[in-house]
Amino acid sequence: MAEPSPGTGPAPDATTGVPRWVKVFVLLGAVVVALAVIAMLAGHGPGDRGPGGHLGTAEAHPPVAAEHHP
Amino acid sequence: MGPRLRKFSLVVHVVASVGWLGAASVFLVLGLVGLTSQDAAVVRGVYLAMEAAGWTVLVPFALASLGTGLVQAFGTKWGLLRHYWVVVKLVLTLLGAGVVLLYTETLAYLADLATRSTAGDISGLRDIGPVMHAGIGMLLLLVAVTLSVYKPPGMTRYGHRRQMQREQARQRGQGTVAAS
Repeated sequence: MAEPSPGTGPAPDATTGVPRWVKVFVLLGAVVVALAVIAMLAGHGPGDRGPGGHLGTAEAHPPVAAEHHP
Repeated sequence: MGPRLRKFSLVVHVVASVGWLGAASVFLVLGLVGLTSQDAAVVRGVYLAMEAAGWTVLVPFALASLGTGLVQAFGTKWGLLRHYWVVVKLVLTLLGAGVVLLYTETLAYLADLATRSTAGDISGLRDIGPVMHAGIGMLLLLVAVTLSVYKPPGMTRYGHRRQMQREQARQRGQGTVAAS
């Protein structure tokens, strides 16, 4: 996960504050999560099948083919 | 961590991560076959295969990638929370591994459906879930790999604090040497 450049460690980092790429990343991630939550609440999420998908509930959903066709 | 051990742990981490990416790509293909194949036996087989592969390949590689990544972080000067690229990679890996673990329940459910479905009756079996999960998982892993290679700049507050402490310790050491 975290490996230094060959033969060298991390260079001293003079940048302060949160870098712009991190802010963009967090924003994109928030948008994706929001879309996923909306999709799940609308009943079309990928985790809707089976035991609650990401919610981890034990209740199984009956198979409904029409829901899951793009 | 000495250089040899560091390189070895890096090899293990890369193998685990690439294995995870490979497993995700296979799941993507299996998911697509399950969605599109007109052969009932193939569709059933796909969901049975995914359940087996989930526990034997996907979960072990995901957990190994996470574990070896932590070893790399703690065993090198990059640390776990000092640089934003490491933190973002950690978040992505935790998210990916968590979803993989949770999704095994759904894979088991789909495999059970496949076992119970009668010959020819597969209309209720097709699921876009595996395709979406695999696709999003691959995207997360590709972002993680990109971060590992490019290592975009940006140090966290904690990282800056640690850097300042190191600098101060070094200057104190140099001052002591100069005085003597």
